[in-house]
Amino acid sequence: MKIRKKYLVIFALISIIFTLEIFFRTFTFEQLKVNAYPMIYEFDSLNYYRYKPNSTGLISKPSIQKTVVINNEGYYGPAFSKEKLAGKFRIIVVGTSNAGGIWLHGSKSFPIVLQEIFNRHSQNVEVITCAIDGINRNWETIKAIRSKIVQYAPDLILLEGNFPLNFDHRTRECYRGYLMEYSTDSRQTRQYCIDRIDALNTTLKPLTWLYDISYTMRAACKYVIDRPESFQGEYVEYARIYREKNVASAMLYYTLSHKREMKEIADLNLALTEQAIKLIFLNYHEPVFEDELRALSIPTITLDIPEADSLAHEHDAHFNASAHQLIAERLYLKLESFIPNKIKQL
Amino acid sequence: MMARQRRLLFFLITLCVLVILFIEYLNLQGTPSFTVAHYPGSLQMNCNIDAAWQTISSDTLSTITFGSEFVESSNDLLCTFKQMWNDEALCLLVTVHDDRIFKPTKIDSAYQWLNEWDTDNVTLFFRRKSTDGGGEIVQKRFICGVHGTEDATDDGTRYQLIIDADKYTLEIALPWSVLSIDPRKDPVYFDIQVTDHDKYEMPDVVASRETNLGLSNYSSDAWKSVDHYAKMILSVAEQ
Repeated sequence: MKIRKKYLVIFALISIIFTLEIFFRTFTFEQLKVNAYPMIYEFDSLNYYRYKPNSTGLISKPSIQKTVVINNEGYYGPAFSKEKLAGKFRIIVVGTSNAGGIWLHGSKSFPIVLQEIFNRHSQNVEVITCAIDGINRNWETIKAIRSKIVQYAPDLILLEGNFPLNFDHRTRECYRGYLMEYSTDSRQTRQYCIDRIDALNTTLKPLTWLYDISYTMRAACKYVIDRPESFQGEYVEYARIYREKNVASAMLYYTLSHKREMKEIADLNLALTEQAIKLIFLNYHEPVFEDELRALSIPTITLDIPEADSLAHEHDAHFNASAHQLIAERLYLKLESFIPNKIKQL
Repeated sequence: MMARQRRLLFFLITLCVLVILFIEYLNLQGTPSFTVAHYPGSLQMNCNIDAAWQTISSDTLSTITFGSEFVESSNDLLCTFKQMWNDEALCLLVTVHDDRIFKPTKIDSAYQWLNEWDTDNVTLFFRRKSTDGGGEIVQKRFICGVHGTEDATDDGTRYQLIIDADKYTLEIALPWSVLSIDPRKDPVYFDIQVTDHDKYEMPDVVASRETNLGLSNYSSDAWKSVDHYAKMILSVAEQ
């Protein structure tokens, strides 16, 4: 009788574990899959970080699974020549993650679709993407236009209308399969990231092993991580780092006053105009500072893309393939007046 | 066969216990408590109680909830506080040692994009007893420069914020009526958060806070949940 009871307990426990595993693997497979961050970042003395030219990396997170290939110039997108071919009208799309499409499940970001549309219409237009993902980088983007992007001799720069212009001296570095984001304002921030990754690879290894094999463990971690109001502390942070494969130190962020940001944009536009480069601000949803930019002779293109769930990934807020397709189609029509007739008539 | 099953059972139970212990560990980080001395007299809410403070020992706000990487020394950021109570009010004396004090006179267009919580400030959080018996959060923020001389707020709270070269001192008398708490009956839960803002000398650029000190072992977001507040133990009044 005693033995039968033991069997029952064992059977019940095993059944519960297996049922939970089957349940989580069936219904939450995508949300609970093991994440991977692409190991494509390196320090950049000018803009704090950049993509390593000709590198590849794997992105794996809910809704997104792909291999990222960085081109010869250090951007996510098709390779391009630094020198512009004679007769080509060169458009460079500048911005952060949505402009680059790095966090798009698939490869057809809107600059690529836009290129296809121009090709279909036999127009001698080249669309290049020069975007680097990350938050608080709007000021870095402006700096990058001045220092790097003008070297590619664009005829037109389409700049995402991201305001305010901010920065945070954040650099990104890859270390033992994790992405570290730390502030160059403090020497201790890098060590903070390294210490956490080292702990995950040594003392916390049994827990990470359990996380890898068990969806029940992953579900428990997700439950804890998603409820910061109830669960906080060092181990929750470790769980989050392991799940995201990303560790970020405390960060200082800075914002330019509106007066200063408008002055910087005016100065940039002046410098670009001298080099016969047209600057256009691109807004996906609503116009931002349209009147003030018009006063500086800077046009804006607003695409009125609805902020709908159907245009974002299910588990990630970045634009999905449908949104990129819609952006490209609308952008093509809006750009018509900015493309010289001799290019259109080819 | 039996031995193998026993081992399996042992493994499963150990696994369950470990998971439970891990989850409990996350929750059992302990609620700090502070004993608050009773002030044997009628407190006039004019913050003029300096002699009384000398008899009270101070506590240190030692937990860095955000930005420990930016603390260079104790001159950079160190906070001590004292508390007293009587039937009228709860009084606090908060001293913050800070070698670089940011003191805007007001948060206006000159500091566009500057968040109040990104300044050099002391923010107090209390759990106010609501009519349905639950708790809601009362927040009082005192910003260097913006809040200066002795003043009375709308709800009867009195304070004085004095800024010296390398420290600032906040003295506050908070009526119990503001908290809807009867100090002789109700438990008092609170949090003190001190923010350090050092990067303020760039023209037309506003920086975020560097460091945050708090009472609990949790993050600077601990104030959102009264579960993470510290408990005040009000010492019984001397008869």
